[in-house]
Amino acid sequence: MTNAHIRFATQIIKRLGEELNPTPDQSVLELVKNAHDADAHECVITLEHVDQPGGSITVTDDGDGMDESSIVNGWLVIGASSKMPGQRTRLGRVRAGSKGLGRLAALRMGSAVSVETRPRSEPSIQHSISIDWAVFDSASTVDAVDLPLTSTPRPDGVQDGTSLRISKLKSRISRGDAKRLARSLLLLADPFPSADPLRFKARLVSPEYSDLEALVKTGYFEDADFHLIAHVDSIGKATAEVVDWKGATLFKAEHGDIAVRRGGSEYGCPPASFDLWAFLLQKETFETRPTSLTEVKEWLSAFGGVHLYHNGLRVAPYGNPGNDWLEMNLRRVRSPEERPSTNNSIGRVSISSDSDLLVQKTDRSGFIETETFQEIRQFATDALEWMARRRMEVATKRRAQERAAAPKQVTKAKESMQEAIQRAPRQSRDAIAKAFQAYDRSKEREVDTLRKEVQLYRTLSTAGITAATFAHESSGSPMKVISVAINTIERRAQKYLKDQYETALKKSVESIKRAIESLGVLSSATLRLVDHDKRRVGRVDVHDVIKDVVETFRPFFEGRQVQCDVNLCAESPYLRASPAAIESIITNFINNSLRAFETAGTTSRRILIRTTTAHLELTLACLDNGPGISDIPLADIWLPGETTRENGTGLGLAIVHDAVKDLGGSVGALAHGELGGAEIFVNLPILGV
Amino acid sequence: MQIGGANLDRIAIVDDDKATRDTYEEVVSELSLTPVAETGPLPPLEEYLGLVRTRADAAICDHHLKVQTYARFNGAELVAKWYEQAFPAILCTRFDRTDINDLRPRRKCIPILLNPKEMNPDTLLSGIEQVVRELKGEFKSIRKPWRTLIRIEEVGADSNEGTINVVVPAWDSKKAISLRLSDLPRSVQDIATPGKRLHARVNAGAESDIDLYFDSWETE
Repeated sequence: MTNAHIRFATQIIKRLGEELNPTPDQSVLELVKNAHDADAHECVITLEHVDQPGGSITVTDDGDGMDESSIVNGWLVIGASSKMPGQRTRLGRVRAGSKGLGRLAALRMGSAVSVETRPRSEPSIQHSISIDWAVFDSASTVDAVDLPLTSTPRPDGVQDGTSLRISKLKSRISRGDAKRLARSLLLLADPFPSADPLRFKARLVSPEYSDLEALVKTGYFEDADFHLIAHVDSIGKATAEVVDWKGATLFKAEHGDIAVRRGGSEYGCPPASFDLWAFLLQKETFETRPTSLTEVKEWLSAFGGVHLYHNGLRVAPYGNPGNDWLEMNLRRVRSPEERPSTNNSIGRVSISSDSDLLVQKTDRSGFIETETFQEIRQFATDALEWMARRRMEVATKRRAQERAAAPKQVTKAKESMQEAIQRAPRQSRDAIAKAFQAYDRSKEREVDTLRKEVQLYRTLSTAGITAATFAHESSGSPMKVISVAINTIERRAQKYLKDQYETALKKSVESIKRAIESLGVLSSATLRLVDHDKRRVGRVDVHDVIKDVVETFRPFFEGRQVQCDVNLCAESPYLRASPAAIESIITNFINNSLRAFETAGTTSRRILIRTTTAHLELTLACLDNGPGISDIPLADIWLPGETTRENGTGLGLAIVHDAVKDLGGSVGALAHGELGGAEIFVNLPILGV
Repeated sequence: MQIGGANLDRIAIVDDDKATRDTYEEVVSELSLTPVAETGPLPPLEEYLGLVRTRADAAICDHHLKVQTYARFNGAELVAKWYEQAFPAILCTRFDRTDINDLRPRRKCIPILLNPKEMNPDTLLSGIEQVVRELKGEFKSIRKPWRTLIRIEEVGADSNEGTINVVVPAWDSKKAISLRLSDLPRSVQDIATPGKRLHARVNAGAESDIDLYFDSWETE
């Protein structure tokens, strides 16, 4: 009998090394983690001539070094993990290096590697070994290559530790790569306040590092307007507090306040803490402080974001530029008030765990998204949500106080005015007093009008929110089920009833399909109006918006037997606005015409939407053949609350007026236009056609 | 059954609503395929990816899976991951424009986005066939990526920090497409300024902006 063995072609080494190499900084970090696992206090990385291929990287540490057995049975064994659950290093560190694949990726960055190591267990000896990858490339199998390991006496005074040099680099390391490496090294071992001062540190010998090191050392944590401190304990119970820049507690939360959206259930994750320093990056906030807004912005730009530390070492890519793993920016966009973003905050989630609950992906692009990881993320986002709710509560109270204080301030101002009038010369005193009373009355009327307008907008906003909620709900499952089910009924009925389908079911099936179509439009039209993107200011093609709105209204036109024609000029006029503003103009025009037809019982109903341009001005007009404008002075149709319809809000054209004014345009109307009914138009300055 | 050259029989139905699953089951059964209804709650994504492969050969999946307690991930994530693992799946959802930011970064790996009202045995079959063919490298013209010039129009404008607007002249020189910064490679984020021109691979034959995807950005 012959014993056979599985052996590996050297090509495997090449492929593993190259395919697992995400970025140069990630690869070097793997070597730095080995230094951490060897209980080093410091690890120094030196880059030489790396701006061109052929340069070298040297990684030197003051750790425990390796003896012959550790080199042969550990360092050279690829894929075997030195991590044993619960087993820690001599200094009590949880090992960060894993199966040696990351190390292989790093070593393959160059054509040759040499290692010199001085083990703590053998104070008078040092070992060295070299790898020439070219020899591997020409050998058939990995185990066919001999790697001579030499042991020599250690010169006096030379300390324990390991020095590893990767030479003849295959690719250059750009300034951008070096900067990223410097940032990764600085953030690797938790540079945040309260971190262990004797912790492991890694240092890069390069100008990029010195600049960033100065920046990270400065630290502007004390300038944060809010510091969120949240913890989750070993049984999954969370607590949190927010302190201000003086350290005074603003808000405090127990588990139930934080985990409110999960019904108070415990978090299924190991103990973790979350710190977030949030800044109000406003000129006024920094006017009274020794630091400048620019300094803090520069610092946040280099180190901002929420970083994740596992057993004291940072795990990339969480907190890297553009990595928003807690979706802070998304939440801020949805609800900007009182929420931090990755641009105005810096934070740290720290987790201590010996177990294998959190496992990093082989390519080192973060943790595998297990239930445990998701629970940690949930804890952090819940804490952020809780802080946002509390800050919103305070903002709402502040606004209420300001509203309550306003009348008192007015009364005080009036008293001052009366006193001033009394001090005026007798002959002009009465005239001034009368003029002031007249002014006061008209101001009161204006305030009253505004108050009513605000009330109306609030009511309509509530109606809008409710409509959007219903629209969202109905556009979901119920509509989906009806759509698919009616199609199935149609197909099967055609199949089984054959000729009888036409007379027995076709009409009913077609009716249901049409009704679904109308319902779909109803919900999508409502949702389109509240679409966030629509409120973004940018280049808007007016004709595109007109066509979109008319298309949305198409089923309504059909249902009300309205013929809607669109007569657009040959050009494509565009301006800088939000699509919502243009949409609100057209939608309100159309709604007005539809209501007018209904009120007057107009038959053969027609609407015409027309655009013309001249001298960078667009005229957008809506004409109909309804009853025209009567019972109201033409100029008053733009006033809020003015309506001739029962149950009308009188806000439609007031909104058009405001929107057009914001865009620097003007409005106009004819009581009876070309089609016989009302003709309403707006003139808008445009950027081009 | 042979679909696009692959032998497929069992179709997983991933939707948080039982009534919807039931209606999809009817459609799948009409094709003489075996529906496999996925009742929740589903395990974490990485675990679920492999689990389904043991009991189904392809899948129909809704996007909004997180509304109730059905799943901790959304359908776009799931379908895209399956695509990377060469498991054919179609995303069947009534999406609105607010969903586009979720879908865009994964659109490359979501060949078919089907509106439920268009779901019938023919569209299901042709949808799965298209995915299977794409997984074999046979792209339809609307899905084929081309190296294309991209112009950055706005960065984080108007309180939309975290997004940029870009124009793809080869697709539509007048339409701005909004992209989330966090979905872009770090090298692009670092240099994103208004007016900057760079290249990426884009399916410039797409009929709608919803179908556009961006890949292989070049910054140098």
